Amino acid sequence: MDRVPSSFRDPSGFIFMHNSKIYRQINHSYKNNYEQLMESGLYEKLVSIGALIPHKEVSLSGCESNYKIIEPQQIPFISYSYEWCFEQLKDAALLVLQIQKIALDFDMSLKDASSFNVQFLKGKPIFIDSLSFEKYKAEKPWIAYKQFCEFFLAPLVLITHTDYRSEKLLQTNINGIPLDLAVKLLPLNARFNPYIFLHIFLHAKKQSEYSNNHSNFKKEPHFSKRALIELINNLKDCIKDLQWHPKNSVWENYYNDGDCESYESSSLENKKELVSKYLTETKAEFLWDLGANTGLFSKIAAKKGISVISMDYDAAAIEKSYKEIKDCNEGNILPLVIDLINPSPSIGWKNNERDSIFNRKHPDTVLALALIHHLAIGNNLPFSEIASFFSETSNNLIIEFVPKDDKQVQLILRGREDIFEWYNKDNFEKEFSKLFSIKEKETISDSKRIIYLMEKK
Amino acid sequence: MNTKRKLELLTYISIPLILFSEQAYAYIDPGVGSYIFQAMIAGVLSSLFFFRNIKDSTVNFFKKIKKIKKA
Repeated sequence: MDRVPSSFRDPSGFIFMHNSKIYRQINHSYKNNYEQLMESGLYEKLVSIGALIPHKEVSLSGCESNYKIIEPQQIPFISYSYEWCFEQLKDAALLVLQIQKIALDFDMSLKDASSFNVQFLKGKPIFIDSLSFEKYKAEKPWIAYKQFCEFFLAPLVLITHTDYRSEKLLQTNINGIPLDLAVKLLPLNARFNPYIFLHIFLHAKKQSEYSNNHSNFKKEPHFSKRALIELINNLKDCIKDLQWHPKNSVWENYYNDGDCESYESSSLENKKELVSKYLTETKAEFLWDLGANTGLFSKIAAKKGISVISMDYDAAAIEKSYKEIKDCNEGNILPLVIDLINPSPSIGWKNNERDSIFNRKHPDTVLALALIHHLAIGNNLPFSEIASFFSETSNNLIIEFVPKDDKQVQLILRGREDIFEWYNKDNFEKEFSKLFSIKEKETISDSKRIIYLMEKK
Repeated sequence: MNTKRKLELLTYISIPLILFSEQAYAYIDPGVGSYIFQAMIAGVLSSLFFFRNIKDSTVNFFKKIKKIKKA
């Protein structure tokens, strides 16, 4: 029994690994709440609408159980809110509020509202903490309100009103973005939104007043169920109204028909055929599409039944990708905002609570299309470093070499001294051949770009 | 120590006890400020509930009229 490093705060139980599977131990202290969750009909309701992860009760040899052990449906790939685009975080927030509202109908309430309770499964957000439910305490305020505002509302409002890059503050503020920080970063006009004024500005003000001064309250806080329901409705209306309209990012329009500067349409079609062919040859089951942009090639892989993590550092491109996935109900792709030059590190207690991206499940195949020049020339990484990175990530590699005279490379070199005399196809093949066997290569028609299929030696 | 002071001290001690003793299994810090803030805005939220009901009733009333007119 290997307790998962992040699972230590909740006395109701904890998550552990056993024979490569995730289980959850439930302690006796949670018995009454668990029984109400299961017997009241709340569990069935939430699972039937796809809001809560289903589980089964098990007994494991070699594991001392407390009250019960449950095996939840396994999440193939864990992701964190600081890796999600705006729409993913918004959907996760609305899910939590929907669950809280339904829970109240069954006389239960969420006792926490951290974004770590939500994961993505088959393209949709799902609540994974089955022990988050407690009996509703009549006339008491919602214990998770502060956490909800700091984990969900503050970052969403910062993205729409300040800058989408503020979402990364969730990485350095593992307990949610403090409201006083959000207040300092938000522009003046954010105050004119009555919801934001109430739940961020006024909320932050009262938080700081009461943290410094204990003498202002004289009676127990009273909060009716009606007020709680309206609080949830209020938060829901606020979040539903939030919209992020990024200015056209370069990458968001990269593959749009008629607007593509890098490929003739025949080249693009040929590239799609080659990638599809190589994906079949690798027998890929789990793919990382690095520099995936809006997920054009991730979709090709997904249609072949391959599970794909579609990564790009451009949040606008991932936003578009996620919206398209929602529209087509594409369950095989999880898009994430990841900067390969500075990917998600391990963070939290002992730098062990939330895994770095490379400590999570590795793919059997990596797709690195139109990426090499950004790493080598855009970021001064020698071929040896790049090859080593790919070989540590996966056994199979489908990679596109972009020659120096390509328009996109010339764009990167604009205004810069060309110190990249080593950047050519021969050196690329030489360095990569130290770690990979080049199984196939083909030049894209009407282009000088080459697609390679490589296998780790 | 006078009676008023004794009552004040009792309040300072009992509020945290009340807040925390019933939440043995609710392990997160709700934030005293956030807790009290909700109680402060309870009246505003309840009146929003009241106005929302009026709005929903009015909208439903006009929807019914529209249906009758169409029929």
